[in-house]
Amino acid sequence: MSLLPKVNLRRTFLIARRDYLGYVKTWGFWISFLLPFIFGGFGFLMATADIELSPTQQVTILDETGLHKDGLLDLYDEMLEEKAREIVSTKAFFIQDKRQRTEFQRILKVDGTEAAQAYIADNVPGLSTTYEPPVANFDFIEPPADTLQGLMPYLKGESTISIEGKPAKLGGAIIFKTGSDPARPDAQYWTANVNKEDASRLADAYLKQLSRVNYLEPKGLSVKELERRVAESPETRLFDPTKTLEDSQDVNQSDTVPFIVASVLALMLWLTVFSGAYMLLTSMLEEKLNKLLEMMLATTRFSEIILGKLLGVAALTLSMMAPYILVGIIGVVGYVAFGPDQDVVKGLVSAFDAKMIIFLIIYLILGYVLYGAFFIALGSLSSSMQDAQTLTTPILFILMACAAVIPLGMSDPDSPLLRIATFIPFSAPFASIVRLPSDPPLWELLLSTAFLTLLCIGTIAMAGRIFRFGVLSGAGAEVVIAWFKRVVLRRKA
Amino acid sequence: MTAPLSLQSVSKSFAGKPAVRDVSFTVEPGQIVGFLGPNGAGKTTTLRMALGLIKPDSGSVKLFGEAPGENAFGRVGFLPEERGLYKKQTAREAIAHMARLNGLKKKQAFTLADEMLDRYGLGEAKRKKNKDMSKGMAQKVQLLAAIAHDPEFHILDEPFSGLDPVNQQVLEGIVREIASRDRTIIFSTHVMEHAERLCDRIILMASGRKVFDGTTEAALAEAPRRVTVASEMDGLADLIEPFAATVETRPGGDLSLTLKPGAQAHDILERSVTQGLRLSKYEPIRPTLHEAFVTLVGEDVRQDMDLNEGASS
Repeated sequence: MSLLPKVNLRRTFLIARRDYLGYVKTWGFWISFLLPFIFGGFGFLMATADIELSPTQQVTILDETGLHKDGLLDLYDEMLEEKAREIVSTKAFFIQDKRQRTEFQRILKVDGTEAAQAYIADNVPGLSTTYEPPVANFDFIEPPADTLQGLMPYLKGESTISIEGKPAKLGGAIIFKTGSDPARPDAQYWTANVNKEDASRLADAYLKQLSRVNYLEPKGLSVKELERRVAESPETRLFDPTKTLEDSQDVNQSDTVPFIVASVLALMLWLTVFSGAYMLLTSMLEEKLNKLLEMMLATTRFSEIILGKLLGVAALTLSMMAPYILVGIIGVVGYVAFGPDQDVVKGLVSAFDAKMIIFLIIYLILGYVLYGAFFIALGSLSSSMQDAQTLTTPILFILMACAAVIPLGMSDPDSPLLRIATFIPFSAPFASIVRLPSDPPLWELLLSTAFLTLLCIGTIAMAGRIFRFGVLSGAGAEVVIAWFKRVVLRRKA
Repeated sequence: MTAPLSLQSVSKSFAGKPAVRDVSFTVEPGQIVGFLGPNGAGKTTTLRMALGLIKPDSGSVKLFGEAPGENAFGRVGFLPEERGLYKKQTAREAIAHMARLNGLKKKQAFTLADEMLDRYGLGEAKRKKNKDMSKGMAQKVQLLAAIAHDPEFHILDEPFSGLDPVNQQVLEGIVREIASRDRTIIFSTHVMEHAERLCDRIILMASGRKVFDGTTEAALAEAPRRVTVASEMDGLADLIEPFAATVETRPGGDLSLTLKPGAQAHDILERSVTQGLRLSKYEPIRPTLHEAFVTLVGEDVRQDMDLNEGASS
């Protein structure tokens, strides 16, 4: 007796083709397929149309103490400069020369954005762009009234202020009053829009800085100098003792990129298995409700219908994932070919080694077949969507729990939990992939694959029997319970 | 020539409840066999066992001389009792898909689908999606899908159910057309008239058992023979008494009698001539298969059948 069921490839292909085309002809498929492009296009449109999603708010400062307004405005300028520094720092990603990149980052940190921009213009002219300061969340304007009472109509929206000759709303007012201690003013923020907290956060940051100044400066210490020294403090360098000496043992992005790539691939694998298995469930249910299976069974083997469905939905899932896969491949290949950071390039090349590609394909197939066979079996036992949801809940919980191993691969790829998960067939595809960059022993991977393969064969055999029973009995969930009582508990009906 | 279907002492139970009990019959090549019986008689289970979709608990099934399976793929056209089509397929796609599963090439399958749809009055529905078709149209499309590959043996489970009288006529035409090509057909139904009009042979099922297997004429011979007579003269009741098993007086005075076994309708005519009693009405009633069935299956099943027919009418 052959372990594998007999199949006629032509009939299997015809069933797969019908399932594939049945879904491809739906609106839902094309919406899912085009979604990344739709989002991309929408984002591009928003960027080019320069639509203000959050217009700049007009805020005023009423400083009854006369001590804090300038300090607050200075702090605001510093925060804008910090924001600008974050934006300019992204240029480091494109500086190919490692020494130049380090120097650029140092200048940006110590001397600010304008100095960093000047460095780029002199040393990497290709990256030089006109400096555009970041858009502020709010503009400070002179108070339209001298008292809180006088500001009230503006804050309530009953009166408007004038900005460049046009009427505008006053968004809020920061008010400093004399507190019990001159070093601790009573700060208030008045606004009708209580959810917009940018200005109040700025006032909080100012008060914290004020506390630092009041504590340090009477002792002859400068807060500015402290901040400069903190910014210039050295950073801990990471070393990996398993790296060869010739290769330099310090840890850089070439060492961390494979772990990020493995986690992304494991996540993609999970999404593919999840969406594929769920589509198999709905496909099976549709088939059962269409009541065409019995007619097909007069001319087709059970095994051909199951395999055809698995292949058809696999092709469908890959088609739906194709835009994401394509963008990923273009991104990786593009970066490897033209990417500026050689450490990242090195990391990407080592992430996609032969072992990763081979095991990714193996786990993709086995993971999909395992969960797919479960969902086919459950779909054939369901006679409505409610039945299907009830029956699949436990397996969905298992699948969700398996997704939890993926973040572990980034933070602790050698954790005992991840090792155990490698040998549990349900979580093996995801756990093994995230562990691959840490180079687990080959026997562990092979044993995990063997367990998974055995469970897959068992699940397909079981799915075939359940499928046969479920389809011909018109069964629902209650039949499973009746069967369990009769066969397992050996109770008479 | 090998018999398309042969069942030997086949039995099947579901959860301990017998659905088919010790059923044996053989369908010979070229026959049109009516597989009759009320709902729950075991017809569908028997046909499923014939195709190998369900394994019998005991007994054996031979399809084209072998156990049902891949050897019969492409040689059988099966229309199941439960109807359905892929909703988003068009009529021609549905027919071509089944034809291709049965071995036809793509171009050949679509050409055939178009021809069949034209031939059976569904030409305009070729590119109509199944979800947009009426129930009758969809049912015809499914039948065409089942027979498109011109199989040697057709198994049709309740092909007439759910169809209006016009479409039932069309379907009878299709069955006759298939039979004219010397194909073998077994179809189940609980409406006797179709079997009466179409079949060479009928198999009657009741409560999972086969209660009759023979020609339509033989089945009709089992039915009670009735005659309606009337006379304006006295003595009619005495005249018919030796021949009548039961007598019923109809409104208007006509007597409807069921003949005793061995008695013939013309015996009444001969006796009336001999006795000089002029008959104003003499109508031998043609027996129906329904009556034959009711006689064969007995009172219990008769009540069950009446209930089912009441529900389906």
